[in-house]
Amino acid sequence: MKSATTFAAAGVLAAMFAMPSAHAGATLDAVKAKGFVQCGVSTPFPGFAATNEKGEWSGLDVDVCRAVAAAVFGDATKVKYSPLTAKERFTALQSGEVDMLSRNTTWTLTRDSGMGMNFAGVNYYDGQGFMVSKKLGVDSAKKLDGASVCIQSGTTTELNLADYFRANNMKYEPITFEKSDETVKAFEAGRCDVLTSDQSQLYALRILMADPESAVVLPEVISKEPLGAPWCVMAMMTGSKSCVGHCLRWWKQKTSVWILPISMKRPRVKTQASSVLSGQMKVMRRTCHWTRNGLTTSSSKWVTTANRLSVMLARVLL
Amino acid sequence: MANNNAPPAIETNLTPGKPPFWNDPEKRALLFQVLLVIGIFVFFAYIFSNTLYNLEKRGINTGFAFLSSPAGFGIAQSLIPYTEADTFGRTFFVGLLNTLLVAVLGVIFATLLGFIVGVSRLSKNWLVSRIALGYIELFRNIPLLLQILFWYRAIMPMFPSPRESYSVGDLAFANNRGLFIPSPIPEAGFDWTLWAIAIAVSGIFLLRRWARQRQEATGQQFPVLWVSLGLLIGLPGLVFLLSGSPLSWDVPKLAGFNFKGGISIIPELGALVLALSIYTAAFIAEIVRSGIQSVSKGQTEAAASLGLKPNRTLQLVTIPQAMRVIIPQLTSQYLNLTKNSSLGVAVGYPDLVAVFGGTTLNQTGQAVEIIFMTMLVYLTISLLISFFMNIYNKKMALVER
Repeated sequence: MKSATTFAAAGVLAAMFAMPSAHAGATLDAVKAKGFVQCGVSTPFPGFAATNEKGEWSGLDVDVCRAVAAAVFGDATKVKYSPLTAKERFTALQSGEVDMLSRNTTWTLTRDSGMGMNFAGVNYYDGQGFMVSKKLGVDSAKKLDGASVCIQSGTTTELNLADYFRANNMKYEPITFEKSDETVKAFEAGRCDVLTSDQSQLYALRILMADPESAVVLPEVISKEPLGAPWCVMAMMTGSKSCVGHCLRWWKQKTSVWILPISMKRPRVKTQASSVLSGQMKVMRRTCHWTRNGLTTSSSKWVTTANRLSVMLARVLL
Repeated sequence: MANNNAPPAIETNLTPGKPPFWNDPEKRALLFQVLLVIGIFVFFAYIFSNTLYNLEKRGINTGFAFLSSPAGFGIAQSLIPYTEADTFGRTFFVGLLNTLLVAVLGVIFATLLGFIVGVSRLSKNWLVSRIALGYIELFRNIPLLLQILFWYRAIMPMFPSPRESYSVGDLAFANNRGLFIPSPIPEAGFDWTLWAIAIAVSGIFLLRRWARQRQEATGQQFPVLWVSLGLLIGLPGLVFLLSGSPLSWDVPKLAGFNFKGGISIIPELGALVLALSIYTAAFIAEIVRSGIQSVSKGQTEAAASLGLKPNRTLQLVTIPQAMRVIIPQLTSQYLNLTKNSSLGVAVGYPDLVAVFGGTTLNQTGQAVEIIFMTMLVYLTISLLISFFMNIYNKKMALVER
């Protein structure tokens, strides 16, 4: 009897150790098996990710998701959106609840290294700014000593704010909320003097206010916020031509179609991916004041950066 | 001839023979228990190593080294000195102290209000008892989050902006940024007053004990309340005046956008404590009512027949016996209140969950360690509250013959 029990117990233990540990599979395989891309976007936010009355999503970040779905499946509608607050976005991505995050997330070293995520590109270069009520009569951020500031928790906004005020020897009172619309409500109620966030967010949130004309965005931009997405997307300013070039080459591989920016004087092949992308380009041109005339896709001096980016992308996709 | 005097050999070994190892029920039970303990241990070790393996595979940092990295963000209210250059470990303590502050304030106000409403519910006055009933039914049934949001969004904005604050004699100010009251600044020589207060408090305890002994011996009552009050106010006051009034006040002044100086109570704290107290008081009122009704009617009648007035009956006869029923339920309400304080994150109050489990978690990305630490804190607080309430419970328990 004793030997039987012992053998049974030993067998159970051996089976437990022999079981393979659950491990993270490759994202692309999982997405292909699922049949759609689960995309994390921001809670409704005009210009980047917003729903209309019918529940259809539109915006810059939404277009990125649709472009990825088009690249993987050839069908831009095979994507589902999860609105995530700033607090839950990283844990959702880390745990695999969403496949990618297209959520005006600043690309920082900490986030790229120790959090198990990879940023694959930038789709919007932004900066942090301040919004105050016109009633206060303040015209510069340097005059904000002692002010109460409404912030969204868990963002680079908090850190930049602390650094800026410390560098200028000013004091402030931080009031942190989880969601951006709570910060706007507190700002409108007068709980805080200043609302701080990326400038694109400030302008978007101002549209949602009851009286947009009563608030003014101060001219100071106190940080550089490259908003990226952990997937390869179009970048828009000098220095990221390599990423653009590589993006185009990658899409050519996936969809065997050259997707070209609007301004290039070459005949465009209309596919779903390209129309999504050209729609995205239109949005970017309108909202981001892109003034470049066009992009070259094969320029030798960008080859090495393209190679580096392709290594990075291979890690993400494979 | 055989010697027949010796009695036949009697079997003196009456104990049954020990069964072999594998048939002995005691040994078997022991073996199964040991196997179970080993199994549980192995299970948790497997879970732990699996988590570590997965985190490493995904490239997520593990370990508690982040507790010594600089935090870089500001916190609205901190009971200990805190700057942005302090570590994440310090944000943990700031959040913890804020949670404890809300818990302590909430417990005090909820108990006071709950007892008053609970006793009013049993009043013979029809109006008073109906008002208490309305209070209980209203605040018990509305979810706590909605109540917190109501106090914060509907009531707090009714206060004016800092430039038009309500003020009491230019000393205390109330506006939508908070309540600002002057803070005392003790100067040299204030220690004597503190010692005088400590001596007065211990004197009051001794006085109560002496008065009770005297009453049990001779039956004479001693006005303990008035003498205690006089002692508490008179002795420290005398020492204070004699040492030259070593106290100055830091009066809050409007400087630019906000008030500087003095003690400030932010509206988030006010809304949270108010909502928590009112909500929990509704539950405590019902608990108090159940406790009072559990005391048998014979006690009240006997007290009345002795000539005790109704409020003296309540104070001396009913409530001390009702406490035995009230205390365990009160314990769970205190635990609920402490855990409900985490809802302060909805109004931006920097408690443990908001500061440590929210901002720090997002900045470092180490969800497993941070949530584990936060759960451990709440578990410890709850166990401590239960422990102290159980001590009080044992003291009040019926000692049967």
